[in-house]
Amino acid sequence: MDENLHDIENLFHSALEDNEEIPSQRVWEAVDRQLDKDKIITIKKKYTNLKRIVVLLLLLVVGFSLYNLYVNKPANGKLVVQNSDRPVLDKQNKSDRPVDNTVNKKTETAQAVATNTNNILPGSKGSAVRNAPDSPGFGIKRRTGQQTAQVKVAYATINKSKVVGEVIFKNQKDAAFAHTKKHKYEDPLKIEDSSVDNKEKKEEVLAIDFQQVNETPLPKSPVENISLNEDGTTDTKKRLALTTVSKLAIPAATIAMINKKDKKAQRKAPGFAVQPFFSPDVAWYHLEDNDDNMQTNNAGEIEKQERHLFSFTYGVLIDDKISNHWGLQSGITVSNINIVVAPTTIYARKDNSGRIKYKINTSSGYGYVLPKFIHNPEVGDSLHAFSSTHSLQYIGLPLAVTYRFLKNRFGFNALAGVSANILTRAKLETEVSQGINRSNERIDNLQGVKNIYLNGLAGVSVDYRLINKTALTFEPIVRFAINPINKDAVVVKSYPKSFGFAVGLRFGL
Amino acid sequence: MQYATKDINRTYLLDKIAKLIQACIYGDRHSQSSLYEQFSKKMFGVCMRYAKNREEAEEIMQEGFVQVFKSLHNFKHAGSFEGWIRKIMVYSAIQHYRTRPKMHPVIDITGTEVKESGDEDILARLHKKELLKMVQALPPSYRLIFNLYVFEGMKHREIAEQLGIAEGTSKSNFFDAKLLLQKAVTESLKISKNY
Repeated sequence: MDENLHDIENLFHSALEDNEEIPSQRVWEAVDRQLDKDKIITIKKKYTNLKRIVVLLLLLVVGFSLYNLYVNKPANGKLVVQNSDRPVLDKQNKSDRPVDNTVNKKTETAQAVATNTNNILPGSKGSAVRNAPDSPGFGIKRRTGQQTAQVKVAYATINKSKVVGEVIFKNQKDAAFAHTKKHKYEDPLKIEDSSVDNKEKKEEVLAIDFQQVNETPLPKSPVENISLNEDGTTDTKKRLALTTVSKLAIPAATIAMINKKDKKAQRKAPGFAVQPFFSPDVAWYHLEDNDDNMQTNNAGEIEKQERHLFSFTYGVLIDDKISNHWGLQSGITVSNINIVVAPTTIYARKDNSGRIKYKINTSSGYGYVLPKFIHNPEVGDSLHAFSSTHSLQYIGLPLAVTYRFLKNRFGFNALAGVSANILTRAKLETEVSQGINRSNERIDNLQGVKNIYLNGLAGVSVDYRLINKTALTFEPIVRFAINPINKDAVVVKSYPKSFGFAVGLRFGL
Repeated sequence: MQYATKDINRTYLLDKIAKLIQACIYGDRHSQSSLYEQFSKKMFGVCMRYAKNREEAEEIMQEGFVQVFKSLHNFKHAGSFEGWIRKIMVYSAIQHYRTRPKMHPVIDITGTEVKESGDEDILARLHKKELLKMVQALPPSYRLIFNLYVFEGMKHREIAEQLGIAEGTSKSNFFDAKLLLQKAVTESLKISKNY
């Protein structure tokens, strides 16, 4: 009988091994339709990514436009300096009109702090006036050498003062530019000429000793009572600015040079910010069948069985400003992903060491359990596993490029970058049963999970300045895996994704 | 000289297939159609053995070919391309079996006695299609295990792992499948003898 059975095997093998049949045309038509469908899905996916990029770019463009529209706009009438500047010059320009007390006091102040031109620029006495032609701008060119020397002196003073009031200084610059624009074809010295008869006085005005300005307290004047800062303080820079911009009418070219150098200095200035945050995440994943591995589960089945639980990320980020708007962000993050697996039947398999245990497959990896109430299981024996939970923890090292701009107390950021995620925990907990026996099983090290994977980051954030250097931040951020988190031995390739709502504090350093 | 010509032909064919695969990866429908035409007959023969009828075989093959086109980028060019496609067809058949409701066969296998006779003799008297129908008539689990063991050369341990059953179950089902086929062959021979 056995011999006959053996013959049967051979009989069928030899008869049907090379069997060929012609399938009907509808098979190819169905394949064709299915491929079209898949192509559409792929295109949809492709366009989804494209849409995300477009939205991100749109945000950047809108942000940049807003910045240019509001933040970078000249501060018309915002500062009293600018307003006080105009009347002084106008009144000085019209020498036939009586100068009011404020102007007189300001002039006195300027004179008090000014030193003799010869002390700073020997031999220049009166030359500026003599060389100044009537044609607009020419006089400015001719005086460039002297002005450069003055700028140097002025800069030494500014650097020495170590007082940086960005808003004030910016507005001062704006005021100066506004003034220059108004008097585009007027030599400021000529304006002085018309109001002050004494040529020497004019040159004194030109050759202000900024060092002395810095050190000499200003006498009580209406100008000093003007509040420039929100906190109402005045400092050396303000005095300097008040003196230079509103009173002394430093030529526009000089101011432009100062501003240019100052901008460069500002760009080079490092700006660190530390940002601790916590982010509750909406997590999901994209699963793909691992085609190299033909085992019992596949992506579709696993996806049906699993559901994401509460996931979160926390950590500390460091922002380093590399230019006015651009910066780098790095730091350290800890992310937790929790996934619950629906009750299922698990089967006995040989583990890596050759022992037969019950294998649990998940989207992240797999593990083996052997309950105490089961002895010597056979390959293929089954066991019921109740709802299982597996959790992954990663330490992330992000590196992102940020674009930041400010508007009043708000700061807007857009960021894009990558993060290297190092696996620190991959555990699974489940309850298995067979008949009346039950036991809780725990796998501390899920197998088949890569130790490191990369994900991309993209997000926007807004922060609100609470006090001087502290701001409250809110940052919606998308994280998406670039490579799968699993090794080849796992039945699927899992690409985790999450959308986080990070809340934190930003401390400027 | 003959060997050299064979080698050239083989290289040409491999190169042709490699180009065809590459074009299919890029989604060229004409190349996909060519590839399907090239392998559909052989693969349909495989699928017919795993299915209970032609319609089911077509379903298996359709799923299999879709999987082939989706996974072409994973083909490493290390082994036979035909073998790789066949493997996917078999996997598709297993998947097809899994998604169907499980029916436990209740089959009477008593009274099955067969007179000894050579394979060639039987083959001369029975048409291939009859043998195929016998395989198709087997219960799904028996048919699957019989196919995996006889045609794919898998061991019972591997079959058990693949199907998530005990090794003993695989052996038992295979034995029953053979008995059923034996019975079917005997009856078929009896009928042909009477005619």
